[in-house]
Amino acid sequence: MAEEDPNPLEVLEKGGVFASQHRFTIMLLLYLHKRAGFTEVQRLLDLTPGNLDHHLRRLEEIGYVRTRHVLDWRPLKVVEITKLGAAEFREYAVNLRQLLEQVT
Amino acid sequence: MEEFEKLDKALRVVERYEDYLFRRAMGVAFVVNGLIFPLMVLLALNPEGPSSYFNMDPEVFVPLATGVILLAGVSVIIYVFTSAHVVSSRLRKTSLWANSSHMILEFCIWFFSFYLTKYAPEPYRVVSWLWAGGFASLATYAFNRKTSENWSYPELIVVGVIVLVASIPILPFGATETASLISVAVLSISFFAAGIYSFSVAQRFLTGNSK
Repeated sequence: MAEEDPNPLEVLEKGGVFASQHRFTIMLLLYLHKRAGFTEVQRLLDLTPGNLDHHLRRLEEIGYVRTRHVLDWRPLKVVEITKLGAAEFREYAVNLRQLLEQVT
Repeated sequence: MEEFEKLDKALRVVERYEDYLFRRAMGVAFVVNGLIFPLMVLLALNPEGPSSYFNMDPEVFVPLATGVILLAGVSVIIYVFTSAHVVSSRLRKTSLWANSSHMILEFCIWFFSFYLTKYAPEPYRVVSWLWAGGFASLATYAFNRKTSENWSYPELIVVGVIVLVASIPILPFGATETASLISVAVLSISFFAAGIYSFSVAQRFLTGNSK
């Protein structure tokens, strides 16, 4: 294994917050689309509002996402990725890809 | 391998979300078409009323208002498609050649369908436009379904069937203004129906019940 290759354990530990399937999916979705409606994410992931709120609060606490209310044709709660969140997720995704290349 | 499965599941969700955004944008496009098309026709048929309201000469007002309506409609459609980055994600799924050849062939279907209407006998002139639109919608759907799974839209069946079925009771009116007005209403209704269908399909992509 080359020196610059990520340590699999380190990758998983660093991505602790992404260990959850739902949080990882939320971050990937927001990384690719910048923002999404709360209700849309809830229905996509088949979660209850409280359950999704729990995952979002964890991501908000570490500054990876933020939620805000916007006025569309009806009041809408929107989830957005922050610059920090995008940078951290990009790093995690790159490490993950290297890890998968090592395994396969 | 667990990480690989996690990534795979997440990508499937993202794909569903992109399909949802695309279908929703299509629904908006249909509804906007259903609004601007009759507006423009009504404006052309009755320019005096609105132009006197704005204190303008009808000859200046009609092209100006038509341009504004068209620009507003096209802007809304472009906005809903581009704001969600759905066009680029959809185009990524097929090759450039497949996209461009599709568009050229679809253009040919629509062009020749409407070109043939000029050979329709005078009493059927108005209805022939509905036949052309209906046939082109169904032919485009069949062509897309046969050649690409990414560009197959049942909304075209909704438009095609409504337009063709509604053309039958319009036949006795001949080439009258009444027939023209009913035809415009039929087209508008078919676009609204296609838009509503598109919104319902979009919702199914959100919940994962699209198949």
